[in-house]
Amino acid sequence: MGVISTFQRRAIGVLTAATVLAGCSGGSDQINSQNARFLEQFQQARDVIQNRRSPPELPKVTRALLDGLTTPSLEVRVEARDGLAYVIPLYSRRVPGLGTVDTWTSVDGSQFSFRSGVLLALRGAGDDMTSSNRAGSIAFVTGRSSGEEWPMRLDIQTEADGVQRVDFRCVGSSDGVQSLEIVELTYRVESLNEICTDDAGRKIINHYWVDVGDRTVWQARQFAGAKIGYIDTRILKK
Amino acid sequence: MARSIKSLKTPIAAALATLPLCLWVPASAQNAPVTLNFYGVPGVIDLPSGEALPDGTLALSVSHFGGQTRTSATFQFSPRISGTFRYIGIQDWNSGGFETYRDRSFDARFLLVREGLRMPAISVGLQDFAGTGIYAAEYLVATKNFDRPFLLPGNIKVTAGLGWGRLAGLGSIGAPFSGTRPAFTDGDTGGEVSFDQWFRGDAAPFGGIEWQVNDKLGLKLEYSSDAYEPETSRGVFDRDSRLNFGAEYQWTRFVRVGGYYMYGSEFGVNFQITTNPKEPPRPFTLAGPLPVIVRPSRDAAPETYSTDWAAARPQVAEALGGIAEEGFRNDGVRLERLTFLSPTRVEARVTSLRFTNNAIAVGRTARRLAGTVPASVETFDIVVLSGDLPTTRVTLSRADLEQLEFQPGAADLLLSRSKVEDAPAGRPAPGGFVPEARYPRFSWSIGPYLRPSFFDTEQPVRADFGISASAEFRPGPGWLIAGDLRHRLTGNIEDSLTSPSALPPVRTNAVLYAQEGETAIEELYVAKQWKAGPNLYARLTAGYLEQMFGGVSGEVLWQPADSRLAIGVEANYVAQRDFDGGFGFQDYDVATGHVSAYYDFGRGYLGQIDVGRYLAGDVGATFSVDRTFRNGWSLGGFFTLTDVSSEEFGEGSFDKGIRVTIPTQWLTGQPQKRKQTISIRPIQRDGGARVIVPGRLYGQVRDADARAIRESWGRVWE
Repeated sequence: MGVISTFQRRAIGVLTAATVLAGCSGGSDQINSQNARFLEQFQQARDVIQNRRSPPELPKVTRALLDGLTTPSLEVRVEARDGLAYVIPLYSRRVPGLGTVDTWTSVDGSQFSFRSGVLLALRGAGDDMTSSNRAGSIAFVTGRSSGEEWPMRLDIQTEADGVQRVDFRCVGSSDGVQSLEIVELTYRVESLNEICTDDAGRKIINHYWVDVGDRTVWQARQFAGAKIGYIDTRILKK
Repeated sequence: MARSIKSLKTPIAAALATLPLCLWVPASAQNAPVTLNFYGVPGVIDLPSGEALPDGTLALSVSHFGGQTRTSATFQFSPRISGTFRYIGIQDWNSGGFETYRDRSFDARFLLVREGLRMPAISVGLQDFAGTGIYAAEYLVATKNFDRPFLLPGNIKVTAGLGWGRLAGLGSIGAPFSGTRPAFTDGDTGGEVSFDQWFRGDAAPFGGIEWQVNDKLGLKLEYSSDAYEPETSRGVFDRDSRLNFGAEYQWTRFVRVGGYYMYGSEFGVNFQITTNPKEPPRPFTLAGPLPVIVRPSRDAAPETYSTDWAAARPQVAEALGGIAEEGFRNDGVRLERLTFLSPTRVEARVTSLRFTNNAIAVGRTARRLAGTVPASVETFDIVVLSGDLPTTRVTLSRADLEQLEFQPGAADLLLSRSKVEDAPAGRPAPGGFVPEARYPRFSWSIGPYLRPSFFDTEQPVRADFGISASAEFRPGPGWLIAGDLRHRLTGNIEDSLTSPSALPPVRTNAVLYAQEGETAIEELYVAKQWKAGPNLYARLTAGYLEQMFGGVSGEVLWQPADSRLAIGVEANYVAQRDFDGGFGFQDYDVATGHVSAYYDFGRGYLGQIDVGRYLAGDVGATFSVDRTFRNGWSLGGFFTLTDVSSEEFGEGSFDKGIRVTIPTQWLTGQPQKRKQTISIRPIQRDGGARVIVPGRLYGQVRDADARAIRESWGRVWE
């Protein structure tokens, strides 16, 4: 054991700190050593902090800006996180028994899947809705509801990497026809409420603003799970 | 002093029932949070309460008053059972050779009755049940929540209980179960479970009130039955009152702090951190998957389903695999091999690079295949590899993949139509695509290391910190050559005190390795893993296995895909390494090995028994139980009993400890396979010590076996 001078110790300390910060590793595999774990955790924590400090700036939305877009655009707001995103169509698919499902994506990979404006699945946002049974909701917003109550089932990602199933019984009501303005355009819509109660008696209310003509859901507020809460959507450009 | 149980029925019942009755108001829909006492268990200030923490909660606390510091970790192992490990320091002890008295202790609690509309929560607890006994006590305690009592804001918890041992120091009502219990004596080696003392001797009632005024502020008041005789008789502090009171503040979701005035003479503080594996600080966020590319219908485009390409299946596989390889990697999966088994069937062998949940890896592989392979391929065989071991084969219908994604209960539907089974052993089907870069592979890393050491007689935590360089070389399937060279920059493990051992010093000379191994080879070994047959895995390892031992190690694991039970056999011949961490060995060598039984009780509870011969030549068994969570968290405890007597073993009487595994993705919310595991022993002695072998099979296989994939299948569409 040799004696190391104060200078040498400091120099080694500086080198170590530099090594940690630089994230010194290479090769084709994830190496399973303690130093590699430290490095990766340090880098991930740094990324998380940087993303928190400098979230992407969103443009100010005007009709002129929207008219210039070549694709449809949907505004999505996650109320519980105070998060806002503008999403674009990713793909549409004809699904047996359901009809056409439209999936939209954000820049960071959050995917929102709708049938007739009803949220069927949410992926990539955290606390996701992996699947659902919303046939009754679809019938309600498209005006084909029988008027009786209907079931709604949501499969929600849990914090422990599993999936929790939540069952509701729903009834609908209408606030009548009204005007709805979305970025300088006004639509005549019917304001619909879908009131759902789960097995424990907890109540949630989904709200849809549905075009009186072609039944487009121009705006909606839909429950997507206890953690993520309500998702607000507005069609900015169809 | 002793009284019969009959005469005490009334006082016990009164203690548990009086307070709820006199304050009765309708029960709250949601109770105030369960807070911790100075012992780190659910309680008022210095007294326990009847509630249990939410299932899975891990609570850490540091409390201090009157020269006494208690650092505690409590884990709510199940909805009813919790365990606590505690390290204490009592200043100005000046007795038994200690100026400051330091000790470790364990508690166990059981929730007898859950709180209901009328019933309080009732718990029974054992405090310091296997230590030197300085805090030894037992209690039966009830707590009832009242929402907005007497029109006051917030929530009030009322606690009443009956204590034995330390909790019967004042206000004794006699001995309900008769018997006597010896007083605490310092200098005892501790560690033995004191069955004969539980609920013996005098009992005394205690109680307290906690008013959670709002989400942030809580006020507490209690009437203690603890006389603090060992402390006051040694002049540690003066106890002038039985009343304690204080205020607590919920600083963040995880952190609670409190200040108190205690026993009429001392100010106290308590710092609590509670977390739960089920409640990550950030939600697990995984960017949405690739869309499933749906084939045109056979009627609309019959030519698309042509199998003409199948005449050159290996070449097509090579071409398509080469094109898709990067895409697989972007999806978080490494494509190890792509083979067309027939014109309608493809096999993809994959390793998850980022997901602890292999169902996600299976789902993403299937999506990538749907966008890659010819339309005539109807069946996907996805073989999941863990390391290089093929663990599970998932067989999916491509048509199901195309049709079920947005159906209600999509994951359950897909599972019901798929096959999840043990992956076949032996060589994979010939022909097809194998990435050029598959072998040999080399990886390296340079960065910091930290080696902690817990609970010597002077300091609770010591550590060495330095820089380490590690490398792994994989020359072929299952082969691994790995090494880790470390240089210590600073640390204080070398200053640890050593105590003599009656056994070969296989662990107690750790301080000598710290003193002489400033620059040392931590490990350097060659290993081979392979699947030896159906449900059968094998490993051979040779080299410098860990800091203190090197040698050869062999293991065979039988782990059926659909069985809760797995059996392993491990045999090692090892020699003790030189203290300087170089290539040399000392004279001590030993044949050591175990037969291990692993049992999955379901709902995340795992049991393990290892029977065999340990490093010091002692023979016995290690018993472990762990609570695991699908997101990679694991918490558990273990103890080892061997033919070494408690006198030979020394302080602690037998080897025991707790272990915690925390996945990185839980902290960051980003998909990541890395985990940090730490084992904490009250004291490390030489009895019941096992050699540390890198790459043991059970954990590796279990993470990717058919049961694990089925249990986490709900995430397959992500």
